[in-house]
Amino acid sequence: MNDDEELSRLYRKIATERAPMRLDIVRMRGHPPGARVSSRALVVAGLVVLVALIAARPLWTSPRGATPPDEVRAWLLEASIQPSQPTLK
Amino acid sequence: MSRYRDGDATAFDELYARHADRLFRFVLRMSRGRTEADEIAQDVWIAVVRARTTYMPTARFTTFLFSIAHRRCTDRLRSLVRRAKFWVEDAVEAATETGPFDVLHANQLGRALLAAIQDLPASQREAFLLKEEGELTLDEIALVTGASRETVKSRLRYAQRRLREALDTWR
Repeated sequence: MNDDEELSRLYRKIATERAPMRLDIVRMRGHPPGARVSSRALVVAGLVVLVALIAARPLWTSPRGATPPDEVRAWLLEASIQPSQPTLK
Repeated sequence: MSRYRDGDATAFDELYARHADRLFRFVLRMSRGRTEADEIAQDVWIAVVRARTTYMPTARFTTFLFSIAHRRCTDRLRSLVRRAKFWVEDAVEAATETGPFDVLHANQLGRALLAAIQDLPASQREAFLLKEEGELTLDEIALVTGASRETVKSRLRYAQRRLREALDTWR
């Protein structure tokens, strides 16, 4: 074994430091393909929820000026409030 | 890397597992300590991730990986030189921090070698580490560092001679 080989052998014997495990950080900061697909899926899911909410809007609100349901009309009459009033406070 | 470029995400895990330690040790000895080395090594891996779509297998992956590491370390070195700082003592201390290396603290020869490596001029230290940690050939080291083959050969020869001289006092 020559001197340079001995130097290599000694170096490899003492150079034993291990790298800190940073795979998750690297994946997250580097946006590998898996993470990119997830982001895209998240955007699509968000859009689907938005469309569903818009479509369901008549279920919780009625357009301004629409006739209130009968039970609401009855309650309004009982409370001596004209149902034709545009706003209620 | 070609598998990773073609969409196989698990291939990256394999690359990381295979090369992370060697890359970290290279960066550790080219930087001022574990914290900085950790940052640089992360940057290198992130650069690998971001280069996946443009990666062309014109050389071995290690050559590609250590080329990025060389650039990152050089950038850091330039910025430090601008701020007129020098770090030999810090680097020696960092190289002998806690960890598996503790076991070898008693080994004066090992300590002497690490200290001698840190005392080498940056270009010689880099050539030596690219050979030992990257297992790169002279031509590959030349490719990574942008120096000629003869220059690399000379740097390596000087580095090895200085290291041997440093160790002779311990024998």
